[in-house]
Amino acid sequence: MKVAEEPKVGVYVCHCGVNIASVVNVKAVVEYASTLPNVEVAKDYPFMCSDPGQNIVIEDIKSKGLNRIVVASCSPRMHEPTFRKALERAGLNPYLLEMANIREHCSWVHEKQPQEATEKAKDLVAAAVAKARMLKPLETIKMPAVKRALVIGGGVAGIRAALDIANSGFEVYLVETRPSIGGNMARLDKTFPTLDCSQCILTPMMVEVAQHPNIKLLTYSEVKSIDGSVGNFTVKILKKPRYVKEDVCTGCGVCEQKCPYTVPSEFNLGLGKRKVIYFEFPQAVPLKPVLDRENCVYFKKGTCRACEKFCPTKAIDYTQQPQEITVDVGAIILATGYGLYDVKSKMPEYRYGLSKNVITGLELERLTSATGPTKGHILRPGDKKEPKDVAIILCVGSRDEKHLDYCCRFGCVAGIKHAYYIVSHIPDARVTICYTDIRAFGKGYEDFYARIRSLDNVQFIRGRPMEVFEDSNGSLYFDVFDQNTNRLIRLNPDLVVLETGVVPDPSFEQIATVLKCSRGPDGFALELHPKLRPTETSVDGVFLAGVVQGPKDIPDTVAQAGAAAASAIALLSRGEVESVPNVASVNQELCSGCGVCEPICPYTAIVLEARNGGRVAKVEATKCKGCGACAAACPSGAMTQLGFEDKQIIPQLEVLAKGR
Amino acid sequence: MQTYAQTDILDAVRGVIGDHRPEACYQCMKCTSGCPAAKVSEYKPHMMVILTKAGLAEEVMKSGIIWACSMCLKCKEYCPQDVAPFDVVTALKNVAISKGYRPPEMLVGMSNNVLDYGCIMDKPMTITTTDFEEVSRKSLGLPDIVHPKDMEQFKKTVARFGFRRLS
Repeated sequence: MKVAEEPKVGVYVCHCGVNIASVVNVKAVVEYASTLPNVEVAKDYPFMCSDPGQNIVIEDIKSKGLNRIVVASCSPRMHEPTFRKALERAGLNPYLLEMANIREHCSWVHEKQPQEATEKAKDLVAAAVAKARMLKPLETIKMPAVKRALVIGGGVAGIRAALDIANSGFEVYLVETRPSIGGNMARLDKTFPTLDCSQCILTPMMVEVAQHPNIKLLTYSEVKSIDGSVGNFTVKILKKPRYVKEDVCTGCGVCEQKCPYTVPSEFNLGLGKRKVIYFEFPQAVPLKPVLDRENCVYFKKGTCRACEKFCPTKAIDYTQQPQEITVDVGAIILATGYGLYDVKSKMPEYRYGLSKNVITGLELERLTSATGPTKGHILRPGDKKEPKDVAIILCVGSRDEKHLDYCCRFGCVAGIKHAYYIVSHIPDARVTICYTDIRAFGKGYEDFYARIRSLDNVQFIRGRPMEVFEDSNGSLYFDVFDQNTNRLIRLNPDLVVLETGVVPDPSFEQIATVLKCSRGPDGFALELHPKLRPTETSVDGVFLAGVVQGPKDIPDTVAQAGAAAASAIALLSRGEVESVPNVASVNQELCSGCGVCEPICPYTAIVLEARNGGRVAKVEATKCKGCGACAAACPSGAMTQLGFEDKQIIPQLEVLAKGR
Repeated sequence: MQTYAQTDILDAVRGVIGDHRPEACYQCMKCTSGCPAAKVSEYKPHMMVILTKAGLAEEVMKSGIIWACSMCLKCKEYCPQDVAPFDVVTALKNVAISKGYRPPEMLVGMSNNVLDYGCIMDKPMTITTTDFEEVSRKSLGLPDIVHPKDMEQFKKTVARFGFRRLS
């Protein structure tokens, strides 16, 4: 791949169908480009990215001996890799390519000013040619990848992803903050639209995780830090003490029976009690109890030790300490899931948290579940009586500019399912669903909606109440305008169920920060492309599964988990990662060792190393993301960013600043 | 057969209300569910918004219902799309006046009282209790309503806002 001394530039202007050509006068741009210094040839074509389009470039490189290529088309984020490969196929170094973005930066934004857009396109092409003349060949960075993955979050998304990766022969670490895997799905009684028992379909997968030789399950553990980059992440995990020796414990449950103290159960959302040493739920995986140190009388007062006394295998160990585990992985899957919107403090108008008989949909799941605090009998929290008149309010906090402006994507069908729970458990009960739009879009959801809609004791009101009131007897009532009947309706329900909005799990914030993973304005992880790359993130080697990327139901969550696993498997089985060599590079002869660059680097890619009694900067190319901050800050000109060197970008800027 | 059409009223409403734009309304009926005036009126708040959007605001203005709004601002506080039917209704009131519609006589009287006395009533106000008993503010421990000290200055100030006498 020798490059001739004198640059011979080829300029290729794309029409992008009509996207560019309907605004920019492509022929005029080509004509102008051919007058620029060192330009051997300038051509246009309706779709440069197509095979025939690429072949024009390849033919010209071979026949005309071109050694620099400028493509004026869309954003380099779209097709830079395409044209780099074309250069490679023609035997030219792929980094001797420069792109001028005359679509996003020109025709799309100046649709109404074709004259000016054409002039701007000429400027952008001239600037690209000025830079292209100065380009130097670079070599793609290759390094081995660790053939192991980390999955953060043990809900159904994390479980599915971990199993898929493990089944393809790679080792997986599955980290879960709670004592058991299962996530929110383990809290559900049934799943729509088929009404399968949620735990019956989930627990076999949980058991498979526990028994899989390739899965290292770390429950009651938190990810503390993540360093490194794609193929070579170093992850520190903090394993909190259970105060139970997991290798000795048989999960017999005697300790839980004998423990004399109870506290509100987190798994049951505070609706029931649990012991201080407890299993989260009967099918917990791993089936090992956890001693809750905060509430344990032994830890507070030094007495009790009932669990220790009765444990038949002597598994209780009050001296356990937090344990830090460091693992190297090549790929990471984020599956941190969701929490519910805080309607208690944000929407007091619906009286959640003020009236005991106003509950969330997830709480109704626990009140319906056989493993819940009422053993599967729906009893309202206020007086433990069966509710006979239930109001279900949809879109609480969702689709609301003052709260969450997005749809939760499962509240409608969950609400319909909750109506089914009520009328199937309490046949003489009436249910009223206050909806805004029923979004029953998934496979089989419309049938399910039709089935519930046809029940005599389920009423659908098209309207959203503004407030819920409680009278002096503690009875709930509210008004809602029903658009379907054009009437203002007064409801006197004895139980109100709020289908609340969904937010990213709070643990995601810290993980997103340590990973520098982009988040959308709603706080969910931002995928690389909303349609075509929905499981990838802005950080190479980090993939998304489930609600961490945005609200979704179980089928979509599981499908995305499989897709994320496939992406991770593809990376691990290549065993090697390639990265673009647009990284920082130090001329150590020029470096004064001032250290300005080191704290500026957001990726900790710069270290100062001792040399000749002083110190000099050194870049770890695999960590560098090519942001250029160090190169801009370096006072001695020792730091350069390859592909964006001063002598390359200054001519480019000069063209733009001076004009033609 | 009626048709939906864009009218200058929608533009006038947009000009008055700024960010709270009727086109964002998705008809959840939350405003109507909590509106204290909706019980007595034929045109509910959500209908006033959607009729304005559909170019049928003239119908709402003709009905006189816009003057029934008690301006409690609950719709503005709870609207999930920041539409604020209150703002739409207030904008329609302004458009109605500029198009020569006349508000109910009681409001005309109150409005002219403000110009004459600086207050919606010329005499110190009594309060009607829930038992329909007229009592003085003082007997309920409420402060007196204070009229402007300098009436001429007050008139000049309100004139600057474009507050005109309705005749």
